[in-house]
Amino acid sequence: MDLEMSSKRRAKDEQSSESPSLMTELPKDVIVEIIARVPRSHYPTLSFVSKHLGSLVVSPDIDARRSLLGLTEHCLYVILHSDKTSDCRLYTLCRKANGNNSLVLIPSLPVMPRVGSFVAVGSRVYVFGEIDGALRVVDCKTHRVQPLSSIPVPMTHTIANIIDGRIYVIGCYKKRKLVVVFNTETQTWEKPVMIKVDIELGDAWRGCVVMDDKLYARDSVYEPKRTRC
Amino acid sequence: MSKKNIVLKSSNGIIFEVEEAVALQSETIPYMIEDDCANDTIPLANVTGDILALVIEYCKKHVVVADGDGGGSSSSSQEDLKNWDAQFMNDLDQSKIFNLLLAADFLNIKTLFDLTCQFVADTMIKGKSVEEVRRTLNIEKDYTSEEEAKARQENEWAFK
Repeated sequence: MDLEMSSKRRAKDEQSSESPSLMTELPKDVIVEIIARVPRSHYPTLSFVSKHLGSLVVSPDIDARRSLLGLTEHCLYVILHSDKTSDCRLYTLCRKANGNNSLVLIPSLPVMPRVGSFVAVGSRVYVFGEIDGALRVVDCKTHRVQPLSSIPVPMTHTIANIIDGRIYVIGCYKKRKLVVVFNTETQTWEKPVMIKVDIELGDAWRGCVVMDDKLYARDSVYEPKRTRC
Repeated sequence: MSKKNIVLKSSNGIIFEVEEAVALQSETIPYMIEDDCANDTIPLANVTGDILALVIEYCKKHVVVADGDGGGSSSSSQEDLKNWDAQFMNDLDQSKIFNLLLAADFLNIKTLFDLTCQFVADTMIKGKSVEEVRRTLNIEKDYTSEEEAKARQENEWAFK
């Protein structure tokens, strides 16, 4: 489709400002159909346009429609620490009118832990590090947090990542290293397991990556299949 | 196959006679034919004459191409059709676009509904600033000045 707007169109757009908004008078399901066809990176702009559109872009209706239309997208979420407020908050990409992208704050989401592990599964981000004293899951479709059932063992210095639908959280408990597994399908925690592998856990180091079903931390590797059983 | 004509009547009483194949691109009309016992005129209470004329223009264009290639359109005719669709939409003002969208929804013409929704998304929302979207769609700001100031402060670089 021709995305260029002719000068004729532009003139018509200006005229329309005289009449009541035709868009907001449409039935809700038709507005949903239109908004679902707009790329997600334009949703932050829409949420600044009006409260009505702001609530619509995070409604389950939009997400259900986008799924049916096959319009699923990869979206970038970034945690930024503000020197002014000392808070860590979640930001997402916003496409500006000049074609550039910028990161915009997601105001509906609470302060994120400064030191924590984040595991993205589909459209959800599991946050291992407490928000308001509890573990939470960020739902990126609705931009809300949901509680996650309490971890069986309160651990410190955790690292976390996902292998085959299960999130492995490795951390310290009473000077020992433990791994607890969260099954994302059943949404339940499995029995904690002691691990012998000497994975270095520290305050400043929370990164780990998964390759070939192994979890690589700073200078060690954890392989679930071998240590389980 | 014998060609049968169908008579459609707009909300303001304008009569259109179209070939059955043209009218049957609407998934609503077949139900109306079944329901309609006495005469052959199908009244469309939600669609005005000028909008119905546009709907028929679209349906005629789309039925011709499907016939011309014996059911399977070649890629070039698909391309022509796409260009025709773009031109068709570009010639309409905003009020016609929204009324066409509603007519396509009511008559359940899927391709026309997709086309109009995508056109609104692409030309009235995508790539526009907050102010431009408000102006284009004539949406009144329902944020208080304080709320807007806070959002701007939190995202000052997004507004530049």
